[in-house]
Amino acid sequence: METPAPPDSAPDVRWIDRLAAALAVAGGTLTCLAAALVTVSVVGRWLFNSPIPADYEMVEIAVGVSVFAFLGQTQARSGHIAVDTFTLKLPARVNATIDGVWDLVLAAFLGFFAWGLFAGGMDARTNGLTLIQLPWPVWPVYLLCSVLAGLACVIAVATAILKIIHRLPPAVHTSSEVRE
Amino acid sequence: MSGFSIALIGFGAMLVLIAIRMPIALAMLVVGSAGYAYLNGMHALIYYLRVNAYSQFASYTLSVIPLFILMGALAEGSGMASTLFRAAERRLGRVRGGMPMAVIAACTGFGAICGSSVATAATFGRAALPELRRAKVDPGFGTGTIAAGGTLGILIPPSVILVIYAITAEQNIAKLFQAALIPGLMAATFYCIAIAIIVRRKPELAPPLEITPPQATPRPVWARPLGAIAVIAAIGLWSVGYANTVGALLLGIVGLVFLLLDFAIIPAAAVAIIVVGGIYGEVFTPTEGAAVGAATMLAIGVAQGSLDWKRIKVAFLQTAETTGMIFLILLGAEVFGAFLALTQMPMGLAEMIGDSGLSPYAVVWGMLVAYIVLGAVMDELAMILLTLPVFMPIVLTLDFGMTSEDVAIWFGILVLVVVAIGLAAPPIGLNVFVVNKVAKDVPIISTYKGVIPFVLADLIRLALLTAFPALSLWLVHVLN
Amino acid sequence: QDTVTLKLHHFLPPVSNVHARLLTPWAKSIEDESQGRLKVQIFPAMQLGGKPPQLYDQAANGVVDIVWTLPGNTPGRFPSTEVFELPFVAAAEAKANAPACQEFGETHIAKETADTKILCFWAHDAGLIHTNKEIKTKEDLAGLKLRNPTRLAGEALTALGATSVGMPVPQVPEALAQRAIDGCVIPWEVVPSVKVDELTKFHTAIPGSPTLYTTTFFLAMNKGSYERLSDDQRGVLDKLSGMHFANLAGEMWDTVGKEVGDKIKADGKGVVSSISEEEKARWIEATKPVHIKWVEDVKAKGLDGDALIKTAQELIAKYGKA
Ligand code: NA
Ligand code: NA
Repeated sequence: METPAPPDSAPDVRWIDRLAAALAVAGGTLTCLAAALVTVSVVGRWLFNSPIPADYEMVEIAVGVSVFAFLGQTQARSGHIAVDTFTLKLPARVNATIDGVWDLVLAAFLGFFAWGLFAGGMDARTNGLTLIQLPWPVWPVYLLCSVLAGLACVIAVATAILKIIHRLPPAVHTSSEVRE
Repeated sequence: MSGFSIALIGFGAMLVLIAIRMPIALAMLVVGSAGYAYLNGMHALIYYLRVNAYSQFASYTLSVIPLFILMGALAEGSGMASTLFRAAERRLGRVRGGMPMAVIAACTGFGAICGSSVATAATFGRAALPELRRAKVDPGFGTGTIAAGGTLGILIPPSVILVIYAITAEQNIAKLFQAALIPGLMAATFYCIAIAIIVRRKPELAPPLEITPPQATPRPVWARPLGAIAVIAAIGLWSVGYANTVGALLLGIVGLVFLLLDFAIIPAAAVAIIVVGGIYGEVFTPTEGAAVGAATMLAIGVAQGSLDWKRIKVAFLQTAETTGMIFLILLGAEVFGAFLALTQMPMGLAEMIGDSGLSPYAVVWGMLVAYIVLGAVMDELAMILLTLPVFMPIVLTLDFGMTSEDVAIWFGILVLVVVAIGLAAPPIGLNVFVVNKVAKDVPIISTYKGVIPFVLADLIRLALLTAFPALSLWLVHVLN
Repeated sequence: QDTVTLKLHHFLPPVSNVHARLLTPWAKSIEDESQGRLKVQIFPAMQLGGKPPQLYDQAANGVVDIVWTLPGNTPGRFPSTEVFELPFVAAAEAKANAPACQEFGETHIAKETADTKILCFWAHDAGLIHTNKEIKTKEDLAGLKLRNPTRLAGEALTALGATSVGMPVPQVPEALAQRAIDGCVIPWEVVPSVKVDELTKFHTAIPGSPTLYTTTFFLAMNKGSYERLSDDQRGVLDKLSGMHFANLAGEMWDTVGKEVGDKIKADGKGVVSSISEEEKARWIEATKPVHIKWVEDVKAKGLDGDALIKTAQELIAKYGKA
């Protein structure tokens, strides 16, 4: 029934992929909703002279939240652009460790953003900050983004640890063998 | 220490970090933050960055980027992108160098609806690369062609870079789009000429297709006559003074589709007609066009049955990966830009050029060279946002014998070409990286080699556009 | 003693009137008056990072020393300032609005702005309605899609029967060129920078005071930066801020406004007109509900809206006569 995985090969990191994918699908759905909202607003404005009020602001919020939701997928898929031309000669384990360290640095920034958005959200709540066009409080948006940044941070920490203990290979940006 | 040397140390540190595998976005973020803290204090850095990520991500102007990327991913998922490529392949496949030319043609068509260079490169990296392999096109030449073809996403209007230029330079977006049309078509033509020359010298880079290209969907008999009538009617309307109306333009496009092309590309053409027609028919703004395009792409895909939930999900995952990558770069670029502003380096550089006492054209060339140099090491968007506030007033005071609006539009087109070069040229060419993410087995050096002829074509085009402003301005004058 | 350089951050481009004709000369005057011991270095166009809504917090948290910003960039945070943005409260001339705001600010906004040192609080002159359709009566506004400058001005436009559209200023030229909006409501000073003179034909003013609306501004400073100044540096700054700055600002908006308006009239490309006094009375009547709603809204925040409106009107009358 259970086939034991050969040592040092792909570990079970499906939870990372699943979490990142779930966030990406949520963000993608939100982006689609923003696209639909603009389309409806534009058609309403064109045909019936009645655009959706504050559509600009809602698109901004939807895209802002979506991007936070997307960060985990970029991380899980090693989607950030890096140059590995100069380190091609190094052993894969060294490269994996380097990548893991950079993942940790990124995780630190993401964790900082999660904290910052939480603190900023609490301040916005105290100050009674609202959206520009609508009298809705802005802090729930900050809080949501704080949670999403926190989840992206978790994913980055997980990939970092797996790379440092060599349970995940280094990111491949270009070929490791030159053809010519 | 002078601001200039601090900035140089910053650049140096960033390049070292990039060389040891640090993601480019993170390198900008790390060096930018360190420099900001050094010049302005740790406390200032913390409060500057605290909610800044959200403020940068939640930007109306930048919202077009994920929408264009989504549009590309959906176009690929629904098969629309490969249909577009196949249509071009059917016409060009047997020509020498026809396969790379088909990439350029498909990118040109897609560029008419998508305004992002990276989205175009990513879309055709996935849609065209397997076909190029099948046709035994040299791997580096193929990826180089796609990286260069991707820049047609911004060179052919609509264009994110032009939107940002227009907003920063306070210019009319619609006029800039009109101005970009001829230079954009020139770009596509020049790229094809570059391919023709390369293939003539080294035929083995792109052998002609041996296998029969896939058959086109048969067209009903009435298609050609109807298309011909539509084109004639469009020309007629144009000649009696309807040059400005959408009707003529749209009729022309529809006619051409019926007359020349495959019925297979009708869904893609429908999206193009809605987006282009909507923008030029004053139904929505170019910025809104991105949202309408993505929504239309989704709706047509679902209606056609070519997009099911599984494929949409894949499109979402691709959108997420690319969008997260780009926005982290934008964030890093913003922080790095704030650090540079504190050092006063970009302003100093711009002032040096402005105060140099050179002739107007020499000053413009100086700026373009500065852009090519800056574009080699930093993000093009950040570069524009940082330098335009300084360059723009200088450019507008120079005497070219044109109105200041004409100068601003012409300069915008020149900046656009320089940005396209920066996106494809080493050491940091975003498009090359994006294509390489898809074609991991092709060494990046090969892609850079493959891109060189296209960069040369762009440099020649840049020289022509600088020498002859009419290439950019003629259409604007005709249409207004 | 030491020379101090203060960083002033704002979001407008360096070619804007606010940068070139208000902040730059003001910075120069501070350097001259202090004999070079106090300098103000201006960073336009958000060069030091962030987005306009973050400016106020950048001053509060010491990211920069001084910011030029709009209370309306952070709506809900400074409810008392909104009183001047209500329809038909402000005067037509910035000369009256600016000092009235400053005096009001000295006593009424201290609590809301406790986290910064407000160097000046002021407002611009009258705004006009710029459209491609002639406007003579309220009925002409019906169904017109107009970009509103503030949320309250938006409510006023809705009350007058127009469709109020909210969008960032940089989007205005694009939206006008594409007919996504039919017009916008802004003072003359902003007209050239958003190309409204080229994109619209009719520029409709509201005669005399009170006028349809105004927008308020802050010059806010970090408290620590202010306290760290030596006595004589602070003396120079105090002398050139507050009422002095308010008067400079008022003069700038009135002068530039007149220049722009005169140029458009002289060019003959646009039609500049006013609605009649009788029509204005109808507009005032139609926008009354905006006042009532605002008074109710701020009551929840513990403010006596009616009293604030009365104070604002008295101050504007006081400086309007002068
Ligand atoms: Na395009
Ligand atoms: Na570059």
